[in-house]
Formats: sequence, structure tokens, C-alpha cells
Amino acid sequence: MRSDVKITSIAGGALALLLALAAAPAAAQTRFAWPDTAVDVSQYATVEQCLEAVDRVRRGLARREALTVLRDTMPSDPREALKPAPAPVTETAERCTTRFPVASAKLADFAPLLALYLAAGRDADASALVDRRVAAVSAKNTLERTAIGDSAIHIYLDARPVRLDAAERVLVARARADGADRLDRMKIYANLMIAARDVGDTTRARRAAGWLVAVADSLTPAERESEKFETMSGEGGGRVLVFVAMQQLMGLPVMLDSLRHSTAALTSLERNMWAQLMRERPEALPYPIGERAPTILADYWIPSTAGSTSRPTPGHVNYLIMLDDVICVRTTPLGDLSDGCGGRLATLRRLSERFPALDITVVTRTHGSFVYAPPPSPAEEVDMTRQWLEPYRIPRLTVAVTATPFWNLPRPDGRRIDKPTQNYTNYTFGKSSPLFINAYLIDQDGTIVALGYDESALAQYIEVLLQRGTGGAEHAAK
Amino acid sequence: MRRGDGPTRLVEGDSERILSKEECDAIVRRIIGFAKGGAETRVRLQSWWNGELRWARNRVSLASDRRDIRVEIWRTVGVGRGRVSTNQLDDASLESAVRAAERAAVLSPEVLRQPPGMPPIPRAERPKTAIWSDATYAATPETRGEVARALVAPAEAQGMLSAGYLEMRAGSLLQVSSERLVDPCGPLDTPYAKWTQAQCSMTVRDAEGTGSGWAGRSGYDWTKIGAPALAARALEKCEASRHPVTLEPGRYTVILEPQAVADLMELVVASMFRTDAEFGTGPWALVMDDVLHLWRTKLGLKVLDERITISHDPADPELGILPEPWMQPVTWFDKGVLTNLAYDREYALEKLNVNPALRGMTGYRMSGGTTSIDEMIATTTRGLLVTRFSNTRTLDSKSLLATGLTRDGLWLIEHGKITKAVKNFRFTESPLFVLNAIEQLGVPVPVFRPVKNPYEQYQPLTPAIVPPVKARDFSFTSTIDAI
Repeated sequence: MRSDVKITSIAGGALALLLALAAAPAAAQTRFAWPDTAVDVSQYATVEQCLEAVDRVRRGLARREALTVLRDTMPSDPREALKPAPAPVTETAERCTTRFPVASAKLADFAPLLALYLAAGRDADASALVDRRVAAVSAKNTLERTAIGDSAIHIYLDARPVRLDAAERVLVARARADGADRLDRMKIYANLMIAARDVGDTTRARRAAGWLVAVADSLTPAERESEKFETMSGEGGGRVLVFVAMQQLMGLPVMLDSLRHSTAALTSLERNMWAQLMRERPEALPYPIGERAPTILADYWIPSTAGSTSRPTPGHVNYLIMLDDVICVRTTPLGDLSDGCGGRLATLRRLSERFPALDITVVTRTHGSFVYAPPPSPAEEVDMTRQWLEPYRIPRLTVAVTATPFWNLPRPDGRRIDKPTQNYTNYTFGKSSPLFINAYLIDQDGTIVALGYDESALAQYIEVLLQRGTGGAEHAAK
Repeated sequence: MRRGDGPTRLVEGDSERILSKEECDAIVRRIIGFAKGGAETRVRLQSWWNGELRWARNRVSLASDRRDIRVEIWRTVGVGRGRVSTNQLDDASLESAVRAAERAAVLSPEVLRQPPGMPPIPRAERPKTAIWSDATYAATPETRGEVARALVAPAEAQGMLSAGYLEMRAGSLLQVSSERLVDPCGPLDTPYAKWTQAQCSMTVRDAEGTGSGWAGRSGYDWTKIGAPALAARALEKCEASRHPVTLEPGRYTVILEPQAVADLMELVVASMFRTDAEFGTGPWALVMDDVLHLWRTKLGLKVLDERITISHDPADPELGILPEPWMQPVTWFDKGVLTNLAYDREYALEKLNVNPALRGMTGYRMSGGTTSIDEMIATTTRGLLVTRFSNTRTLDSKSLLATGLTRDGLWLIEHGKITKAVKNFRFTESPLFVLNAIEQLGVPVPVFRPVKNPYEQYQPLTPAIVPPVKARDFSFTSTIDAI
């Protein structure tokens, strides 16, 4: 720091000594210095360390983007997953992978190294690594070969950009392998179908859906009743996957054409397709498409005057969401509107702004608590819900709140047990094991026509409903 | 270490080992003054002093007197929050730390999880607890040296080898937000609190390595540790445990000294959580209720001998722990009935619709009886007297079946008298089985329950008061060579 000061005299030396003494207390300490955060890959010796470094860069960029880009005015871009990874991510992966040539890399590092190659954009090396890994296993060992294929498919689908071509190539080989379990194959086809659908690759999604349906069609009754089938996709099991595949095969334009004709035509299309695929009665379709939407009951309304009109509003297109606001509040960071609960609220806002004729109702219930506030009364809780929803600025939003009936387990346990509210009971439509659906698009006649949160699809359904008016073309013809 | 605005250095021998309330307040005000751009500044300010002395083979191997400060600063910028910590208190360093927290908030933040329109932070009252002793705080390195000399001398005079550890600590904590500076009453705030801790434990072994005795005690007040009595007991146990005989493993009636009971109880302490039971794990899950789709727990069921009550009152001067928000007296087992399991505030609000969390068994008092250990021995036809256990590990979380070793003194009792020292055993037993096979209970006494990690700065006391227990059919599964 003072290397440019030359102290040549005794006086200068004394002065320096005085300065040094005066500065001693401060010099005894180490001043805070902002650490160097550049990724120095030379310190990473293993594939896992490299992969973690790449992931740190990716997470850091995502956090930074969350602060600088507020996504509440932009619908999610389905082709986001096809975009190249940010340059810092690719560069870090490239620098780190140079020490792991594919020809000599340890096969024990197969999974993380494959992910690392893909992050670095070394797709040829990734493919060679898969081939090396498969070649290292005896041709008779179908179990291990199958497992390798499954791992590779998952890694290809998890990569950014998602590698649909490579995943499909492995998938075809995997499906042709002897001894491949049909339920496993169905799951992998579903993964490919959903990955392709999510990035807007409808051709590939339909192709995967066709394979899925073919496998599903060949399942024995025992396989359809197996635990593996029931747990294949969350609450709805394999039936949900078949339903999604069915919709892919039909294609949105076909469904919209039917809806344009009439809600009954759409209902008939979906139910009959289900009956063909699952060899069940058409009414066994596990989704309430074509059902009459029950009137919403509420103890409190936001705004308070909203209760004077019944919901869903007769003669209007309605979008109705059963929203568990406790989970929503607890899981939604401010500013993160790209996904999850925050994303759904942002979707509501965009739909409401785009379709002024659309009536949106959020149906919720009291929980006896609201984040960290002391236990509130139902009226206080409703007011807190109102205050919480206000910043999301959803035009013309109506919220229906039911004071949840509950009881407590006997002391000393004392846990609160919520009884199902009448709204939730009504919206199970009397099905013994309803699939968990909590967002409904309802036509002007009060019939459910679509489910879920897919903003792009919802917008197209709403446009058709608003254009055709009550009943549709079939109704008009009569 | 420096404190205050100027370059004043805390010199060796300075009696102020931790930050006072006034000093903490001044530092916090300076930190908040450095913040730019408004929004919340949160400060957690800890100061800590630790004086320790360790000896082995009758010679001191470590004597230290250390102190430190830790300042953690959280700054909110926009929707991000950044955190930085430092131990430097001069203006330049604190301002640099605040700037760094602000940069961290922008560059790599913990994104705030608090959505807008949230209700106000509720007021969190704390009880008064006894956790401070001037005598502990005043102890100097010389004091500890003199104590150690007095502890080592009797063993050395008898040709024995002693090893031990002596520690005194003090600490202070203040955690405030710039939004509640004058009255820090939020659940995440901690108004200024200071505490002391003291602990002493020693082992005496004979030169041939055939006998070993141990004694120890912890508490916030050094004057109540009774170091000379501990030294005498360890020496007495060592002499009495020399040249042990080998006994067949099997089930024995045991007289567990309070420390042995406390060692077993650690397994129970670690299991006392509602969320575990409601996930169907641990000893307190009962059965899955297929109608309500939840795990029923054993709350309300009699699970221990009805003579056992385990409770904690924060106002109990022998059981002082750092006060937490809304802390109330709690009974975990009432006459053998499981009455409470710990939960956090989120659980309290969501599942019970009540305000406060229920702490775990950080400090506890276990009920006892009036039988002395001598009387227990006198009424035992054949059994074992156990000083303590070590290396206890859970084998089965459902039953709390555990294994561990007896150490530092194990004796055979025959026809009402201690007849011989016995080689140590490995046991395979559950504290729940033991507390259901009680024959006699003695007077509860404070035991040795040291902080888990003495090298961590913030380790509050977890005192326990436990009786000796005479229980039948305690399972010893093999002999071990350790003494």
C-alpha cells in the first residue's frame, strides 16, 4: 500500500514508526473483503463437484433473474425449455469437462458425467458415453441395460435445452429391448409425451401419446389394478396419463371444434374416447367434463356485495378455482409469479384483463390461522385473505370463503380436523375416488367444459365459448 | 477484539467478557445508521466468553480463556435479503458489512418469502428465567487452576491418574429488527439476554488400568457444582471398581444412579416431537387412522410407570433455560401419561390454532421417590449398581431399543450388599422398558448434561434433574473390556 514511499532518514523512520503505532489497532484486524465469486473450475477434482459448480451458476442466474424480471405480465413460454442454457452455465460446464474425456472417463460417473456433457453442449460425447456404458454390460443383462436407458432418458429430458431427439432415440431402443416392463415403458412414454407437450412439440407429443395408449391398451386387468399403475402419476395413477395421452391424440383443435358445435359434443367426444381406451362406461371418465357446475356456497364474499349473484354466474363464462390459500401464502415468495400458486394468480390476472366478459371466482375456506398472525376469527381471516390478494391486482375477482366446519381430536392431541366444505363435496360429483382437480372452466349454461391451468388452452376455450354464446351451434340450429 | 466507536482494545484481565445491554444497543444503532435506502435491517449480536481447563494423567493439558463476538446483519433491498456476518466492531468494518449485506441482497439474495398484505408481527412475551451467576462470570484462569489442583491432588496422592474438564462460560444475545428497535417483541426477536454456564467432570483410574471412577455436574452457577465432592466420588468409585470380575450377560435388576438414568433419558428427549409421531415414526406414533387419514399418536395414553412425571417450569431456579417467546410451564409425562410433544409455532397455528410453540425437552425435571441408593442396595437380592452409560445409540426408533456401554464403575449386589466390582457390559435395552419396570425411585438431583458442542458459541443450557432408579430385568448382552 505504501511501497511508493521511500523513508530514508531517521526522521522519516520515526514518522513511519509513529504512523504504524497509531494504526496498530486497525491493522490488527482483517477488513471485510467481498469474496471472489468467479467459478474457478481448477479446484474441482470430481464430476460431482463440476456438476454442482454448474448448478450453482444456474441457480445464481435464476435468482438474479427472479429479481430483475417480474413475470406477472407474461404467460409462461412453452418453448423456454428448448432455449440454450445461459452462456455462463455452458462455459463453466465446458471448462470443467475438459478433464473428463469420453474415451477414458470412469463409467461409475455415468449419470453425473452425462448431465455435465449435456450442460457443456457436448452432445456427441454424451451419446458416446451412453454407448460405452451400454457396451460394458452383457447383452443378456437386460435389467441393467434397461436401467441405463431409463437413466439416460431422464437426464436427456432434464437437460437444458431438453434433448428430445436423443431421449426418443434411447426410448425406441429401450422399448424394443426384450423384457422391458410394460408399466415402466408406459411411464417413460408419458415422460416423453409431457416433455414434448410442455415445449410445444405437438408432433412428438402425439407420437409418444400413441405409444402410451398402445401400451395401456395391452395391459392386463391385473396390471391395471396393480399398485405400480395406481401410483404411476400422483393421485390419479396411470389413468391420468391415459387421459392426457387421449387429449394429445385428439388434439386441441378437434376438441375446440366440438366445443364450437356444442358442449354436449365435446363431452361426448371425451367420454367416448375414454370408453374406447379404458374399456369402461363413457360416464366413468374420471374428470367432470360435461357435469353441471354446482352453485358455490359461501359464508363470506370478497367483495362483500358479490354474494348477491350466484356463482358460477348464469349466462356468463366462468373460471372457478378452488384455492387453498394457506398453502398458497406459505409457498409463494413475493416476486415469484412464474410458477405454482403465484403463477396461477398471475394467470388469473392476465385472463381477467384479456376477457372482460369472463367471471373469475376463487373458492377458498378458513383455516383458523394465517401465516404468523395470532389465531384469527373467520372474519379476520377473510380480511387477511383480501389484503393478501389485493397486490395481485386481479380485475373483477370474486372470492367465496366458507367458514370451515371442523372439530378437534380429544385432548391432549387436540389437532384440528377440517370437515370437507359443501363446495368441495359438491365438486367431487359423487365419484368415490375423484381425481384431484381444482380449476374449472364453465360455459354460459353452467356446464364444465375444461379443467386445469394451461393458460394457452384456457384462452382458446374461452374464445370459443364467448364467440358461440349459449349452447353453441347445435343449440342455435335447434 | 474491539468495541465501541473508537479503537479501544479489550485488554487481558478486563472484567467485561461479554457485551452489556448498553453496548449491544449502541452497536445496533450504529449498524442501522449505516443502512442506506430504508427497508428492514435485522441484527443478531452475540458475545461469548469461554474459560476452560483440561487435564489428563494428573497434568494440565489445556488452559484457555477465549472470547469472541459475532455480528450477523440482514439487509432488505427490494424483494431480496442479504446476510453477512463479522466479528469486527469498528465503524469502517460495520459499514463495510452493511454494504456487503446490501450487495448480497441484490446479487444473490434469499428471496423474501413474505408476500405483501401480511398481518402485523404478533407480540411475543418471554418469561423471566434464572440463568445468570456472578460467581461463574467472575471465575478467572487462576480460579480454575486452583480448582483443578484441588481435584487432582487427592487422586495423585493415592497413586491414581485423573483426567477431567472444567469449563465456565458466559454469553449474551440480542436480535432485533430496525422496525422494532425500542421494543424487540417479534417471534424472531430476542431482547437482550445473558447467561452463564459451568461444568465439571472427571475420571480417576488406577495405574494398572483395572479401575475407573467418574463424577460430573453442570449448571449455570459454579458455586453449586461442588467440585471437591465430585473429586472424592470419582476417586472412591475408582478404588471400589478395581480388579473387576466377569459376570455372565443376562437380565439383571439394576440400580441406576441419576447420571445413568439421564444418559438413557437422552434417547427419550430426542424423540419428543409431534411431527415425527404424526408421520408415523418414532415411539409416539400409535396407528394410522384410515378414516381420518392421519397417524394417531400416543398422546393421552399411559406409556410409563405412573410414578413418572416429567415436566419443566421456566421459573424453576434450578432449571433455567434461555427464555423463548410465550414459554409456559409444560408437563410431558403426567403420572406416566404422555401429555405433550414438542412442536413449532407454524404447527401450533396451523394444526392447533393456538399461538405459542411448545419447546422440546431442553430442560426437564423427572419425579422421584424417597428411597436412597443405600436403601435400594439393601433391598436387592442380586443386581447391579450402574454409575453411567456411554455410547448409547438407538437401534429401533419405534421402541427406542438402544445399545450402549456401562462405564466407570459397575458393581454386583448380593443379598443387600455390594460384593464385588464387575467388568463392564454392553446393554441392549429401551428406556421405555426401564421406565415401565421400576421398583424404587430415589430423590431427584441435578446431573451432568453438558452442551452438545462446546466449540459452538451459542449453546444454551439444558439442565436436568433426575432420580436414581431401581428397575428389574435390565438386559445386558455382552461383556466389554473397557473400564
